[in-house]
Amino acid sequence: MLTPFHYCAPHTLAEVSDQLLQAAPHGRMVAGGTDLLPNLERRRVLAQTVIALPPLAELRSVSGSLQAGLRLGALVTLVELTQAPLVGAHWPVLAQAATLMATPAVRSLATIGGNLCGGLPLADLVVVGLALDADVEIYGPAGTRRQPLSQFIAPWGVVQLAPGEILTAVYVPPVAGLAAYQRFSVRAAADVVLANVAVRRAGAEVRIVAGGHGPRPGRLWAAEAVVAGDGDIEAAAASAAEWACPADDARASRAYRQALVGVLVGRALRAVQEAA
Amino acid sequence: MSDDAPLTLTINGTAHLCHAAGHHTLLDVLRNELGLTGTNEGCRTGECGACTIWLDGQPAPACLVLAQRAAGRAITTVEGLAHGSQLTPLQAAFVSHGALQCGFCTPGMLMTATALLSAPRTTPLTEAEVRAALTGNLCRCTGYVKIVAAILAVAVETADSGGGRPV
Repeated sequence: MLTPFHYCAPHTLAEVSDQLLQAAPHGRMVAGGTDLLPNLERRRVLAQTVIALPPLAELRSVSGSLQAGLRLGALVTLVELTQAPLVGAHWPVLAQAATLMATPAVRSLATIGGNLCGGLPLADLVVVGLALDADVEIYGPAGTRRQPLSQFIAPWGVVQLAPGEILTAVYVPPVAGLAAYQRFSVRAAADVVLANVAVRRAGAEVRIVAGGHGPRPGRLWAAEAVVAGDGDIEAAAASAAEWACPADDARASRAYRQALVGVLVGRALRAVQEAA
Repeated sequence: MSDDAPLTLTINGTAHLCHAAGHHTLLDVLRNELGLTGTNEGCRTGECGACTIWLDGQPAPACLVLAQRAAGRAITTVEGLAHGSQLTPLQAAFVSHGALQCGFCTPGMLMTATALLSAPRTTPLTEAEVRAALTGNLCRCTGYVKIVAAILAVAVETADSGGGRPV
């Protein structure tokens, strides 16, 4: 049984924002609940108030076009992400990443916004979103603002939300080039990811993002420069392994994770090359 | 909606008036208030699949759904599969294949696999697809072999009969 909390389900974003301000610092938003409820169950998170996000069309919809870019409402579930025709046609790497996450049943609840706001250093959609140069849309007492995903993610599970602010959507720019995502965990499903990498290539420009690059996902600039220069994938993979800064913990050593990052960068770059 | 407000949940086609506190999960209400103990409580963190139910026809772990948020959704539990004592083809296949030992994971397995078998498809169901669908349902007795065999047997049977049969 969860520790008792007050539950409320406001109907508008303004009401959610008000409730968050009133409940601070012990208020929590709930979307899919697949992160919050296990954390409450394990007493890793304490909540006196849990505020459900309302299923508004602007939060639930997938919209946009190849020319204008993609807008994903924060409450779009991972199953919906894998099934959205627009995503599959023009941003398939997002759907591919979503199919690798958690388990099928959890994916029917878990939301895009939840994955981004969880702030995990190896969050799948953060790694892919950084490679795709995504922005986030945030509603708050001062109005709606938009900022790069790279500035939204701070180290160690913190996201840049001010009191009363709510992540409402993710914007992905029009497709520029090809992208690939690779990750490794001991068990294929429902296991902790040990390393993950997303790559996007547009002409000579290559972006390589690794999860857990220090306390957050980050770009592997040196490897990007290597592959953009002479296109040598093996050298880029070696550079990625050398410069990656993964965790060193009970699940895997730093050296093992560095080697994994190199292997995954090589696989992702080859996947992009083969798709070209 | 606020704490302790009476809540109407539609379960297996029947509306139930419940009194769930804000922190009660759908799993808590199913088992403790409504006595629908077919849905098993395993890890309570969405990892084992023993509490898999359907929300609007889609498998979901009942432990990760706050009861208040299940209002207005069509909830189906393992009790909603069989018609009285008449087992569904998949339930019968679990029996005939010996696809259970202790039985704890069975309700979740049935909910996941029945949804898989009911989904419209254009190609025959493969073993790899069955195993991928079952990644969120842990069984610590059987080693999955007989469970997978039972599901594939029903898939073949359904395809042979032209599809569209309830599973």
